[in-house]
Amino acid sequence: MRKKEFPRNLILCSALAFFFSYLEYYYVSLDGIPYREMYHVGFLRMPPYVLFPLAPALAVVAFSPLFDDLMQRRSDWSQRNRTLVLACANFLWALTLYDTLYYAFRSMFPLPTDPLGGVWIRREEASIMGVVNLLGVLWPTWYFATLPIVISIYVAYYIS
Amino acid sequence: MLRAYGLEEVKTGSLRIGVVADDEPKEGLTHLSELLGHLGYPYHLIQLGSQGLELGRYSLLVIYESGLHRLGENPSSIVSTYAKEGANLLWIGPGVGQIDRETLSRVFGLRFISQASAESCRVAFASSGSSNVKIFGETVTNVELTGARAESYFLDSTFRRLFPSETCYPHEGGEIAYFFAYDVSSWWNVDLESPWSRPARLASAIRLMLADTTVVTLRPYPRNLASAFICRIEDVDALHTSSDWLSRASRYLQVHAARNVPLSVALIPVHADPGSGIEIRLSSDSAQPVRDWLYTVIRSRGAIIQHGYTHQHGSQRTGVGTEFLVDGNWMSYDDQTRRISAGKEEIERALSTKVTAFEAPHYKLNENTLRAIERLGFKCLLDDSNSPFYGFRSSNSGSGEPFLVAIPETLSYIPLGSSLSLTDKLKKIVDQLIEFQGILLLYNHLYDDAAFTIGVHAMEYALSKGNIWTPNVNDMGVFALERANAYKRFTVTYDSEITVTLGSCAVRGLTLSVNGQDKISWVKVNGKNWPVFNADYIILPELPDASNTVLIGFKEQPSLQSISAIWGLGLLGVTSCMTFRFARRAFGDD
Repeated sequence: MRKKEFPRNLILCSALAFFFSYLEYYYVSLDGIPYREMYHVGFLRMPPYVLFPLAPALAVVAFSPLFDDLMQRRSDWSQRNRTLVLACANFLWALTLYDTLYYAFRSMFPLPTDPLGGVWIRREEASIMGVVNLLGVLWPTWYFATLPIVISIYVAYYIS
Repeated sequence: MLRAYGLEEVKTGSLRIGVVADDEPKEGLTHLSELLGHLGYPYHLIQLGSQGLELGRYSLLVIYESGLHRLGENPSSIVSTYAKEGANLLWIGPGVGQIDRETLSRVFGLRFISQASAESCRVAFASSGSSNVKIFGETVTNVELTGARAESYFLDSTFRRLFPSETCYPHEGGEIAYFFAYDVSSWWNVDLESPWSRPARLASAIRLMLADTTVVTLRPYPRNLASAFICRIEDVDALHTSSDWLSRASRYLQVHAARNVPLSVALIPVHADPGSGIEIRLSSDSAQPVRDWLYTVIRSRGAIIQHGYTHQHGSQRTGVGTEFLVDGNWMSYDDQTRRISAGKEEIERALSTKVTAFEAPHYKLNENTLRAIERLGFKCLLDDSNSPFYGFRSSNSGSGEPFLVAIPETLSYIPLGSSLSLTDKLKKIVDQLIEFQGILLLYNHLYDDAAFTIGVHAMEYALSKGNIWTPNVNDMGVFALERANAYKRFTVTYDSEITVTLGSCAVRGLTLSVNGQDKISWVKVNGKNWPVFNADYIILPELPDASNTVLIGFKEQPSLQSISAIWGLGLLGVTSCMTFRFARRAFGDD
């Protein structure tokens, strides 16, 4: 991924994550109650539309520079490897941001009909990995895996 | 027992309302039962068995004169003992003179003077603040206050104050003895100006008495919604093809669809005018324009209600007379079944939709009609039951299971040539109904543009109240039947946590409301944590089992899911180190 392409892709992923979480919280609802709150599907406890098409859509955008490189055949193996690592970071970042923004919308700008309006994540809503209580605030455990990965890759990229 | 000043002080027990009345069908008792069921209180009609009245079992005892014999030979002593035990007491209507003077004064803070017909006492209204309850040809009780507070007074026709019509006597322990000097549970929907003032007063008194008590109720509508607005278009048939009516109906549908309010259309399958030899079926070619409108109604989340077969009998034309009651005689079961079945087939063939709601022409139906519609698979009945709450009809097969939901009309209809001032009257009734979670059902023939405007204004006013459910009649029917299944096993046990038992419910969104001083902290449904709750209510998922348990906690629960911050930070550190090393290698820095 070229120097200019990386921030552009990061911004694009962030914007898409924002739009998806906005759409999900304010529009994917059952008579005013967000779908995610009433439907805990499968062992992942995730609404089905996250698995498809939201996550794949984020992945397509995050990996688009890699696809671009592959189709244009314009980079060598080492460059493609770098692009792949950065694309993974952008994808994980987009997923984490998407999930965080959902709870941010709910706690700061809640739907008037949402019974959990004004409430940050509840431990009952967390995925199978559970939550971590950090300074009295609950955080999904998987954030503690994705965020360090993302930040480490970005730091390594910039100092390289 | 259950008077809660925070759950710390609540002792173990179960809240239940006991009703002391004769169980023979009486309008007042039926209305009270419907009100308690609709507001979602657990209640019980008390039958005095050999064990006697179980003290401490009821938090509120509702007493009618007709049930006094159930309290044994000395009802005064039972009432007195119950008051000492800390139960709230609600006396409805006449008969309080049968309680001895000392008990009446000590428990209700009253002295009995007389009991007579309203006419002989010149009573015309019972007034409480801004609202007046019209008094009809009924018995009223004249009492003097000996400590109780008058909540409202009887007035004569010139609005001169006579004597108390409602009194409230709070005891030192916090329990309340409330007295209605007239039968507030009867004469509903008789006063045309204010048809629901009586259920409003009754619901308000019950709320007042249980205000300081921790009470769990099963709310009447899904997702904690306060009321339900249904708009019914009436008497539509194959002859509704004039461009004037169709244009009005299309605009009406658009306005409602834009606000996510579906229409429920009472449809007459066959238009008949024997005098002119006309019989036009819904499936006939000439009915295509109205069929097109009905398709749009269905696509906009609407529903079709079968409204008889021809809505006429003999030589009358459609819409004029009843159908199943002919010259004072009821049509036989076979004839009714044949007509209803033919109408159902006609609608289903013409519109390719299933019909599960029925409305008898002019609401005239008998047991045979109910048997016929049960046999034909209807689930919902539009009725004029003089009640603002949905009710149930049990199966004739002997199982006693409710098979049919009766949805009442509560906002009446918009007559031909109405003036826009009708809107103000409708708004007042909407306010009254929302106060006690009654159903808002308006029906409209769309006779003229005034009917259009009034209907739209009424709908917009109801929605402006917020938190209003807008189902079609089928949605309402399905939910009400499922809620009835859950309510059948509804019991609540109070301890440091509250345990609620409910029957099965195949729909999501059933709501438990918790009226207490402590905020809900956690909820478990059938042993699993459930997140959809707020400080004072819980929106439930589907309840698949025959008996389901909802455990409600008020203190933060330690959970294995809450991994310690150290573990979280450790995970963060390990992942950072590993990824950083990997990333540096990937970027060629090693």
